[in-house]
Amino acid sequence: MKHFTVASKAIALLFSAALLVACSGSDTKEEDEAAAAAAAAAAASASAAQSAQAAQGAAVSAEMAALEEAAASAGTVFYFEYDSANLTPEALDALNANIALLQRNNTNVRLEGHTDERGTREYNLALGEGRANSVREYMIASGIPGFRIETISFGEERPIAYGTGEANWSQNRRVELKLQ
Amino acid sequence: MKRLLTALMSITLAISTASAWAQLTIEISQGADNPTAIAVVPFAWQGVGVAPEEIASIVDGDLARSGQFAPIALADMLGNPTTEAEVFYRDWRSLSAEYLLIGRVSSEPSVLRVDYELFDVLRQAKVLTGYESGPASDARMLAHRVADAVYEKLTGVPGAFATKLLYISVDRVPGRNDYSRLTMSDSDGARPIVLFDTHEPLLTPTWSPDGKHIAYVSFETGRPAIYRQEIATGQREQLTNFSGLNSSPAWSPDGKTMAMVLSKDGNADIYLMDLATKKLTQLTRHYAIDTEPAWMPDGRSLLFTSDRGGKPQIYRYDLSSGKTDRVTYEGTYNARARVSQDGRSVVMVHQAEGRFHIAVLDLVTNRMQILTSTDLDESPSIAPNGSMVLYATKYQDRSILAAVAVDGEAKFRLPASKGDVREPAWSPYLAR
Amino acid sequence: MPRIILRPALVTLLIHGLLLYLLTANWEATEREIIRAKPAPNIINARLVDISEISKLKPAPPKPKAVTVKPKSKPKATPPKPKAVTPKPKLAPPKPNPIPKLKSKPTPAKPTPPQQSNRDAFAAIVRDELTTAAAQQQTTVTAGEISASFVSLIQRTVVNYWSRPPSARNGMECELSIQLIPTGEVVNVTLVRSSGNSAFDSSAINAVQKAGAFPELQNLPSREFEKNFRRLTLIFKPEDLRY
Repeated sequence: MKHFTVASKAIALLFSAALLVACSGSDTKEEDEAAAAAAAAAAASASAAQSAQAAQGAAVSAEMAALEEAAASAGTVFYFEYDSANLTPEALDALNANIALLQRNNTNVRLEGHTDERGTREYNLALGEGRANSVREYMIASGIPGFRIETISFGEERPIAYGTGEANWSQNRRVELKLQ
Repeated sequence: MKRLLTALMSITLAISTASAWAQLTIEISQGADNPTAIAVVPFAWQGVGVAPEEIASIVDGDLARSGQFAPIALADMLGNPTTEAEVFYRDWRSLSAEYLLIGRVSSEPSVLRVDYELFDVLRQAKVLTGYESGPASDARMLAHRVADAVYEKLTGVPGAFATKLLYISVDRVPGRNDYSRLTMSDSDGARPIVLFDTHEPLLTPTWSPDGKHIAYVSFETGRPAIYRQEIATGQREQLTNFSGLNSSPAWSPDGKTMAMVLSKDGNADIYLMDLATKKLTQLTRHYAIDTEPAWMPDGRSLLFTSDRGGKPQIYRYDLSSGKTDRVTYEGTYNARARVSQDGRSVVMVHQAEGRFHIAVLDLVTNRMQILTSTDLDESPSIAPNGSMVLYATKYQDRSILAAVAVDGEAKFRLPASKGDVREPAWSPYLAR
Repeated sequence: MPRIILRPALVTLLIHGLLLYLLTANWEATEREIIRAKPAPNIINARLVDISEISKLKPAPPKPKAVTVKPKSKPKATPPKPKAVTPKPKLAPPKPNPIPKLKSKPTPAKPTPPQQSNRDAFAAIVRDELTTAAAQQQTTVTAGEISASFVSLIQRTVVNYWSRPPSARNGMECELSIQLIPTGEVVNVTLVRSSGNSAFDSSAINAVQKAGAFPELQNLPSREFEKNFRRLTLIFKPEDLRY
């Protein structure tokens, strides 16, 4: 029982509300009866909540595990076309899987933009930033608050693959998502 | 009879003078521009112990690299004159040398003095005489100054051999980030000194107009920032700490303003920072990428790279009018402009048929000429006399420095150590 | 009748007539002939040839003083001997070309036949016209033509040896006066007019000094040599520099 589910919280709230009503110092018989009823109800719901919570906890864990697995298999690297900062369909798929997880947790992320070696270094620094920004904007549009997302560009300075040719270049045109 | 003879003589005179008027004049409007043959004879060492440097071989190397000269090989020389009295023009004429440089190196306590004399072999006359002096530890620089004097005498253009280069040396370290060293060397690559090093990326080293400071982009804090460093003391100052990009520093010709690229207001734009007050002025406000500012020598406008037209091209921003005009129309990609001191030639990275070359654009004739035949060329930097362009290129899977003459003729590669060498910046003329 | 002394009278008449002739003849001769032609090999003389023109093609006698023979050839026809002015030859440049034949005027190279077959027809026509023109010229070589070919030779040789400094600009101009002897050797080079740029002036003087001699001039008839080649003026004025 690690997490208090919403249900159990509500029950606790009701219980304390009932308790307050009961202890408000009013001396009508009605209130006495209400307090007794509330206490009984609270006892009953508490045990009900316990089992509900257990069931819900299991369901949530399973859901999170599924999301984490989906994100892991999609990967945290999104690739781009040459000289472009537009999200490709493949990148979107991978991104969506990651966003689904992020919508359910609280982790902050850092997006690192990169380019291949072609072209000038400073322009590539800006292009890498453009790519990271593309991912960031899509995440914000999908409901992730901006304060959770940090961006930085390394341009062509941090390649994954050293060497010439498209086989190497395609690996370097990327945005990497790093959990903070 | 006597009168007849006189008459006849005057007539003959008249006829001969008449024919002398018809002098043939030939116009020569082209040249083959072969390098000038010059013999640089080893200088005499008049000091004690071993000579600190081979002055003549440094001068020889400078002149050869310029592409304007073809030095005579040492092995072919018929003599080793070190004073005017020892010069026999016939010896040098037989080697087809046009010029002859001789000299003597002497030393007073801790000061070296290099005396030199330049002779025109064809006209058999001395055309230049002079001397350079300085600390023995700086003997190489004295040699470069001699080369500058000879170059200027024979070409009419000041030499740029007594200058320095900045570049970034990067080594791959297994298990760690690449190791970057900001290095300064002589114009021939000798005497490299590391000015700053880090395991984070370094970019865009640049010189102040007086040659005493440098600026560069460093990721040492984990984010890109612009730093200014005084060469003599090594003292550093972080100039920027804005969110987003902090890159592409470029000193104004009067040394008071730094152009830079910041993206704190949404996307990459050109800004000016007053170096005294640190006050910022935003120049470009466009949703496209605007980067790589380069000042025109009169300080009144800047060239920069922008992809506002779709792909990167060079544009010019006029400081007084605030207007921006496009400069390059040839090629699919033009970026990272650098301007010559006379404001006429712009070198840049130019893409043609998928390959990245260094090209030069003449702003007056609007003609563009591709200077390099190598691929993946970047970071061109012009010598302060406008004669040569230094740039980085890929060679056998490593990044090395190479140079090409602005007319595209002479080419050479700088001695390559291990690792990658990139982002060269040629210093301005340096004060003595 | 007064006695007319015949001989002195005739001599006086002759002298006066001669003086009159010299006075009038002098005016033409004082104009300098400036050979402005560029060395032909680097120029491609192209001309759009219309079929109707071919029939009108007349062999044009070359002007005695002109040097560049502009052949009425098809596009892509290059004049002969391009090798002498190849940019960047080795340090020892190739020797100047052999003595031009005195019998015929410099013939243009055979025009390269174009790719399209429908132009082959009048390529053939042009060729025929030119060879007939050349054949007709063979007997009419003037002294001027001989001079012209030697001037061209001097021009090509000096161009080969001229190394312009980086500070040279199109339009800069300096004038040299050179003195030759019948062996073709250069015995004197004087700067008559400076360009204002001493490196430029030096490069011009050096070009002549490096050439040193034009031995082919030995084949020139001595009258022609004395008339045109004993003393020469060279004007160095580049037009092919970047700017």
